[in-house]
Amino acid sequence: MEIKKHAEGAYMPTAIPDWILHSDTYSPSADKEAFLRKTIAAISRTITFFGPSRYQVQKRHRGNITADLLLLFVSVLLIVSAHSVVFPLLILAIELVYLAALDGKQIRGIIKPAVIAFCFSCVLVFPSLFLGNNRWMELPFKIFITVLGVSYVSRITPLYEISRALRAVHIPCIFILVWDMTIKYIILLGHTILHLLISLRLRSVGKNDHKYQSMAAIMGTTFLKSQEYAKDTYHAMVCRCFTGTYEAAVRQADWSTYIMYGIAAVLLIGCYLFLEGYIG
Amino acid sequence: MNPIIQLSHISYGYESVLTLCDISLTIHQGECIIFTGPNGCGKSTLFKLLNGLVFPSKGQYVFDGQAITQASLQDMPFAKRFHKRIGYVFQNPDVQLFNPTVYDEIAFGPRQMGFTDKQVQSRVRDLLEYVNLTSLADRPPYHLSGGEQKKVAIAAVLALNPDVIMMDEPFNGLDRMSRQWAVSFLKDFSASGKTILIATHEQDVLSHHTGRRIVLTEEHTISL
Repeated sequence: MEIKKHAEGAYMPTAIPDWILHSDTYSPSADKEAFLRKTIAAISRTITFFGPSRYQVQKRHRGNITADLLLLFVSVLLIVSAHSVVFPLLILAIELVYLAALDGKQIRGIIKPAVIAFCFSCVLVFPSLFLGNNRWMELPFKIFITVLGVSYVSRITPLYEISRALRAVHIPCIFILVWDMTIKYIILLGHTILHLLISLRLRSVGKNDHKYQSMAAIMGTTFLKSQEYAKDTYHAMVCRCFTGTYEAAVRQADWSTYIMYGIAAVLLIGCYLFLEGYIG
Repeated sequence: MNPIIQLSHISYGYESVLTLCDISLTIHQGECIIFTGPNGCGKSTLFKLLNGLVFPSKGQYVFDGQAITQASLQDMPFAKRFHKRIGYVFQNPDVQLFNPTVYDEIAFGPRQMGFTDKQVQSRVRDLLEYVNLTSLADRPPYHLSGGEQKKVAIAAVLALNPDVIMMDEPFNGLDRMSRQWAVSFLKDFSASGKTILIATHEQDVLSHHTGRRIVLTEEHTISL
């Protein structure tokens, strides 16, 4: 094939290969691809978890993330220190009311880690029954409620909003910088892997005898990409005179929201003291 | 000309956030169509849908007389035949190339199609000459420039000899010579009677184009 030289000096391509002008008669042979499909689905789920979901965006406008975290922290402390199951039951009822506002898929996603934690702690605590512990179910039950609450807040709160909330409770900026960078690159590299896997799937039109070689090549490419990102970020920081100080923006305090959360916290503590028999 | 792609009242997304809204379109074999529109109008989503990567929430997508659904693509031989017939060049080539060398990248498809080593070699050599990258055959794709990566991505897709080729922003990151090459490739491929779908902002590069131009609007509908 001949390479033609353009009048201005630009090289024009050779003629299109003949075989492209005709369609192939091709019948694909059977091959197993479940691994590829499952990996693509798992990475999509991870990106969805780290990126803002539809529910998270809606929730963001309704509440205050800092107050959410503080209220969650207070609830966990009270659940852990409760002597009876009445107060944890009250918290469970409140959590169920919140869960009822979500759709089935979201509810499943929130309950799943709580059930896993519950089962795991049951296995750990169960032998204490033989040592005469009649209240052995109490601990797994409290763990279930605690993990359910944490899972709910993490599910409806974008991770980048959590970093802002951490700033409001005076967590060091360098920690927030590392947190923000980690989330950002998990999403970016997740997208890279996802696109490479999709490309592999689209071009897997026959029998691939070297599937794991292709996967290893994808991992290698992603690793190189991560190095490139790291280098670019470093250069960008140098160019922008980064001195190690990172000022994470704090949202303007919405006092009416804080007052509402404050009332909720006082009510919770009041219920705890009453149900535990400290007052009344 | 036979219709190769038929979209009937396709919508994609949630009810409150639709990325594609009630799109009906028929594309005939051998057509070269340019899709344009503002950022976020749904061009890339439409291409993903046409490639069977996402599925419509409403409406029907028919490719060469066969409905493309999540269920139909569960049938592996059917899915493979479908992906063989429809080639997709991503907007960003460095997330499309995953093989250790340019040669392996182009040979990936033909090897899977059960070609002999000689046939694979011949097909790869033809394409390397066609994209003027013969000298880079043994180089890793991630060490190439953006324009060279784009050419490798095109060659890798062409190696499957698809009936339809879809290119998302094919002129992004290309210098003047590479753009000339891309335009000449589009002419050649179109002349071969195959279907080309291009999503681009840069309409001036294809000012000579006489085929259909489809505009996706901000409301995620199409204006023919």
